[in-house]
Amino acid sequence: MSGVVVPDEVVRWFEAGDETVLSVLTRPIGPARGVGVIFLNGGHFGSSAGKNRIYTRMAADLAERGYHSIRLEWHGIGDSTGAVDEYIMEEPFLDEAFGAARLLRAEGVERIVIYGECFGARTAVVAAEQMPDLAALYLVTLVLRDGAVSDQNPQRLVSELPTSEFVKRLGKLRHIGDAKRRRLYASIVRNKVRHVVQGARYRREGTRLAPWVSRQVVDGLEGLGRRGIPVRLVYGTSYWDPHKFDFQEVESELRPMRHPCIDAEIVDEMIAGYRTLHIQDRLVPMVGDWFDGVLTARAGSDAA
Amino acid sequence: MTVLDDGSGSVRRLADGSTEAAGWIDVTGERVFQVTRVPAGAVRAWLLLCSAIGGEHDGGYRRQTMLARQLCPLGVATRRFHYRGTGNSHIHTTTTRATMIADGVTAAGDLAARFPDADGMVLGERVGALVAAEVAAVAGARDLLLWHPVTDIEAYRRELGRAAKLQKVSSGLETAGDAGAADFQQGYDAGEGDLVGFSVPRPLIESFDDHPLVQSHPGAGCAVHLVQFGRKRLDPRFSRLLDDWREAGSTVESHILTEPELWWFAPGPWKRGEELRPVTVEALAATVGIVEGLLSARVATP
Repeated sequence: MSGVVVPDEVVRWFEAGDETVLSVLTRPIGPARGVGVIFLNGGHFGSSAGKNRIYTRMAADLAERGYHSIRLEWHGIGDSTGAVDEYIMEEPFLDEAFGAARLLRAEGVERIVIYGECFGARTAVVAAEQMPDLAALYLVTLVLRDGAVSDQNPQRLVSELPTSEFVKRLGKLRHIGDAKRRRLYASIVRNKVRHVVQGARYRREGTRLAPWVSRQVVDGLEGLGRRGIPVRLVYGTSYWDPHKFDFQEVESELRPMRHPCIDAEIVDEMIAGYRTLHIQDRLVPMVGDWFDGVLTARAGSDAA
Repeated sequence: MTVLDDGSGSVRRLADGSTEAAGWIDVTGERVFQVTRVPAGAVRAWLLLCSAIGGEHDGGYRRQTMLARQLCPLGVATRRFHYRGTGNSHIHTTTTRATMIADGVTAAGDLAARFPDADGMVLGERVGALVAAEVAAVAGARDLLLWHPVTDIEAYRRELGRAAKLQKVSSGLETAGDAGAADFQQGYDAGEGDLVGFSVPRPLIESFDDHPLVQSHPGAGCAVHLVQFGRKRLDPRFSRLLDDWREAGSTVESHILTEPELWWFAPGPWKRGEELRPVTVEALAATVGIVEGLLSARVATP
C-alpha cells in the first residue's frame, strides 16, 4: 500500500440523450458536506481526468474537504459514445450536466455546485436554470460570444469592421471558388447578420451592450444573480486568452455583474486550456478555497 | 486481482451483446484505471494497449477507444489503461518505467487468465512501446504491435526539446525557439518539464535510460508489426530495430502511414473530433487490417 489516503471512486456510465457517457464519481474522505461538484470540461477534447489530470487532482482535493464530485467525458470524447464535430457555444450539452447531477443526488448530495471551463462554463450557465439545488458556480473562461469555437475569430473580425466597410469588402471577395474560404466567408456573413439583429435588440432594451454578447449568457447570469447564487468568473491575462478582453470590454454594461453574488477574478497568467503546470497547481486549491468560502458564508446567512 | 466493480454502473452492455467494463485493477495496493471491451461471442484474441505519456497520451486516447470498438466485432477483447500517477489512476504514484511495466504486466496477466484460449496481443504507442515489449515477453503474447515507437529515450529527449521550442508558438506566448526550450529545460532540470501544460517528470524519463527498445525483444514466438506515422520511407531507427529482432527470431513487418501525427500537439484545442482526423482514420484502418489478417491466417493454419 502507498500509505496515503485516497478517495473512494467509482465509475458510472449514464445515458445522455442517445449517448452513453463515462463518469468518475469521487466520494469524500471523512464526513460528507452534502455538496457535490460537477466538473464540466472545455471544448478541447479532454478526458474525464482533464488535461494533465487536473480534475483528478481537484477531485482529490475536494474529497479531503468533504465534497462529492463527478468528472465526465462529453459524448464523442474518451470512452463515451457518439461523435462531436464542433463545440457550438449556444448549444450546450445539457444532458450530460443533468445526468451528472442525478448521479450526485443519488449519492445523497443535497446541493450541487459546478466548475466549468470554456464550453463547460457555457453549459453550466444554461443548465443552472433547471437546477433548483444549485449552490454555486465557478466559471473559468466563460465565452461571451455565440457560435462554434472555430467561429470565434471570424466573429472578432466582424465586430471590428463597421457595416459600411463590411459591405465594401463583400464586393471584393477573392478565392470564392475555394471551399475553405467560402466557409469562412459564410461564417463571417452569418455572424454579421447575427450582430446586427442582436445589436438592434439590445438598443431597444436600452442597453449599450456590444452586439456580439450572447443573449444566452446575459439571461443565464441574470437568472443566477436574481437567485442570489454565488458565481465566480475567472479569466487569464495572456493575449491568447481573448475571452478576457471580451469580458473587460463589456463588463461595465453587463447587468448581471451588478448582482453582489457575481464577481470576476483576473489571474495574471494564461488560464484557457490549462496551458501551464503553474496555473494548474494554482487552480486546484483556488477552486476548493472558493467553494469553501461561499458555501460557508451562505450557510451562515441562511442560519441568520 | 479483481476489477473494483460495485455492479451498479461500471459495466455496460451494448446492443451487440458485448460489454464495456470500466474500473480499477489493483497493483501492489494502488489503483490502475482501465476499460475492458469484451465481445459477445467467442474471444479469439485479447489486446492490451500501452499508451503514450503526457500530451501524446491525451491526444491518442480517443483513438484507443475507437480501436477497441472496431476490433470487438472481430472477436478481440481489448483493455486500455492509465499508468499509475496519470489520468484516473492512483494519484500519488511516482510514475517510472518499473511502475508502468508492472501496470501493464498485471493488466495483461488478468486478460490472459480470463481468456486462456485466446491469442495475446500487446500494442505500444510511442513511449508505451518500451513498456509493451516488456509486457509482451512476460505475458507470452503472440503479437506485438508498435505505433511509431520510441526506440530509445535519448532520442525522445531530443524530441521533447524540439517540442519545447514549438510550444511557445502553440501557446501564443512570446516567441518560439530557444526561449521556449529554455523554460522547459529549466523546469526539467529541476525535476519536471512543462510542455504546453503537460508534465514531463525527469525521474520518469531517466528511468528509461539504458533500456533501449531493441533490448526488450518480446521473444522469438512473438511477431512484431510496426506502424510508422508519416514519411515515405521507414525510419532507419525502425529498420535497425526490426533487423535486430528478425535476427533474434521474430517475424517482423512494417506499415507506413501517409499521415503524420502531431504527437504532443494533437489534437489540441480548436480542432475537429478525432473521428474526422485523417491520421486516426488511417492508423485505425491499418491496425484493424493487421489484426484481421492475423486472425484469418490463424484460422487457416491453427
